[in-house]
Amino acid sequence: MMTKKTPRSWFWKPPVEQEVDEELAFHLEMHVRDLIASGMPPAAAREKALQRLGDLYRLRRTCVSLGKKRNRMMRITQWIGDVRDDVTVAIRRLKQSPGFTLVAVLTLALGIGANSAIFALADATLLRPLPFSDPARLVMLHEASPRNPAGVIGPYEIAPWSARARQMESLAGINLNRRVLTGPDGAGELIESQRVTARFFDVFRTVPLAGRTFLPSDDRLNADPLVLGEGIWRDRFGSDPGIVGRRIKLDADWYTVIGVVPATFQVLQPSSAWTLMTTSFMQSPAAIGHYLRAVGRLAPGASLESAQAEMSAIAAQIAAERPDLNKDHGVRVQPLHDGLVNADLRLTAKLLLGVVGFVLLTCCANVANLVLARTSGRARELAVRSALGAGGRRIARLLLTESLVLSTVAAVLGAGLGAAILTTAPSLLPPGVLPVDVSLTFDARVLAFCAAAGVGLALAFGAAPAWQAVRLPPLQAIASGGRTSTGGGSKFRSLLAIAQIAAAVVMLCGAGLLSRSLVALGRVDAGFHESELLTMRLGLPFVRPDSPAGTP
Amino acid sequence: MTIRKTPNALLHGTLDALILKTLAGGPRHGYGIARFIEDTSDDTVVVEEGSLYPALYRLERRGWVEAEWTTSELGRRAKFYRLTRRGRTQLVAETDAWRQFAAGVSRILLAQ
Repeated sequence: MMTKKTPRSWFWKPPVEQEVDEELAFHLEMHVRDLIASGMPPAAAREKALQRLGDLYRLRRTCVSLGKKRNRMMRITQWIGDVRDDVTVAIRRLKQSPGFTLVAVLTLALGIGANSAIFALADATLLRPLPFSDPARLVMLHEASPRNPAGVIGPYEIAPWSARARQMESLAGINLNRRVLTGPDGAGELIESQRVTARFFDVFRTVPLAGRTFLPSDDRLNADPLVLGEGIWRDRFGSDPGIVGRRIKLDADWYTVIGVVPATFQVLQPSSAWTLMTTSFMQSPAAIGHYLRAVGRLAPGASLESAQAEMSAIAAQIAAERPDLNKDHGVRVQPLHDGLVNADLRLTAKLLLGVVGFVLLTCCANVANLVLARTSGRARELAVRSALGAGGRRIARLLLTESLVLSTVAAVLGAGLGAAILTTAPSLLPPGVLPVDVSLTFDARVLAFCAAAGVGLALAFGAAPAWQAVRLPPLQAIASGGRTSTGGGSKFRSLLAIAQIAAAVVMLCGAGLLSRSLVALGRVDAGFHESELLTMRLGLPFVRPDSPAGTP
Repeated sequence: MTIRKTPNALLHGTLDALILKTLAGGPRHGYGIARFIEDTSDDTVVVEEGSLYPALYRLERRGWVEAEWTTSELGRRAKFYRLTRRGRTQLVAETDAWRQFAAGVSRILLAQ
């Protein structure tokens, strides 16, 4: 039935309304013609055809709405196709200049890799909440004395604090120590442990893997209760399912295991076992030293300020009651996050973030310069594309796609590099630099950072050449024949070069000063000959004179 | 015998299959499709315009047919539909489904 195809009709794409109208009108006309041909009078034929068509208004509306949906779908399909074409072209073009591609990708990958690793550190120290339930309500309590504004507290203070503090839901004291654990095989091992007061696990709302944690009633038990960490339970006790109730020996004392807590639960320092500091001990005349760290959870409705005010009042009461021990002592309440991740580490993280940010900017400027130089060299090709009908926006999109392809490859490599740094770096750091509550992991947040960095970089270094392409009149580009770049472009490139060199000089100065300090630190005179000295730590079990060692 | 089918009386999806089959023989405009189906079925299947055109727009959206404005036998331009490659695949699937369905219905209705 189709008779002739003309170029004009080939490209004819009417608006949907017109399309539907014309199509239905054509249908009607064809039907009327056929009916007349079969012998019907024209008026009757028209009547019949219209009747067959039914509710014309409704049909038209349905078709227009369906047609619009169709057009939307086609636009999406077309857009996806365009993007695929752009990417294919971009990859082909990048393959044609492997040197440029390699340098640009490696530069960006190094920048992204270094940044993602430092971002992980900053994320862990500054942004990510602590791995405890409702961590924003947790506080650390310091005893402020004339000598030390953030000092340790005495065991005899825990009971009056707990009894009087209405703004605290719970609080607990922690004593960090090392004990010798005698394993099931009889071998001794020095382990990190913590002696804590009864509400310690309540403060963190720790859910045990097995058994339970301490209860206030444990104070009155005859057997010394002990909570074991998951790690040591697995390594030394073979994940014994019957561990709860088992008796184990720390130093010369026997304890009864009442529960196991997850390996992720770590406060202040890595710890494998927790023993109970009883009320009777805290009230004994022996407990007059200051050696506990204290943590607490704010009561519902309490704020840091209200807790601080109340604790200051309580500290004043205790100072009045025990002038021999607590004269002029106050209390400082601090968010736990600030207490655990100390100010030095925060500052270091911010500093490092700034430094690697500079590195990334330099990488970006470098690649932008490369891309710009390349684009200027391609002026002729782009002019030809433009003369063939590609609009400025189309060409800009092509150039931006190239930038995106470059930075996508770089982001993938950079993510790999970041992951490699993060897996090796913690083992290179001396222990103690990172708090136990802070773990460096390459997680979805770091990955998201890499992706964002990739897109951001592509826009940053791809924008200049793309913008130039939009601006560039094709005639001028053809006339210049790709031999010279345009004046505006070269000015921009010299600006880039200036910024780059300036940033590099700043970084070099910083790095130089830092290494000078490091060398100077190594030369500090300690007052003795370090070269022939060794240091070691011996764990000797503490045996009470009145109890023979090795008996429960 | 002439069975007048209302739009809803055509089994769901059958109209799509009929259109695809019609276009397998070459491009046609909407009126041509309707006439072809009526003629080929000896007027037992009558395609209402009220369901034919919406069906055509839907098939276009799914990419099973594509349209093109070309000069018609009346000497003016008309919208011609053509089967796409994906439409051809769909036609095979619909034909298979119909064969199974018809066989199932026949086994029940024509049982002795």
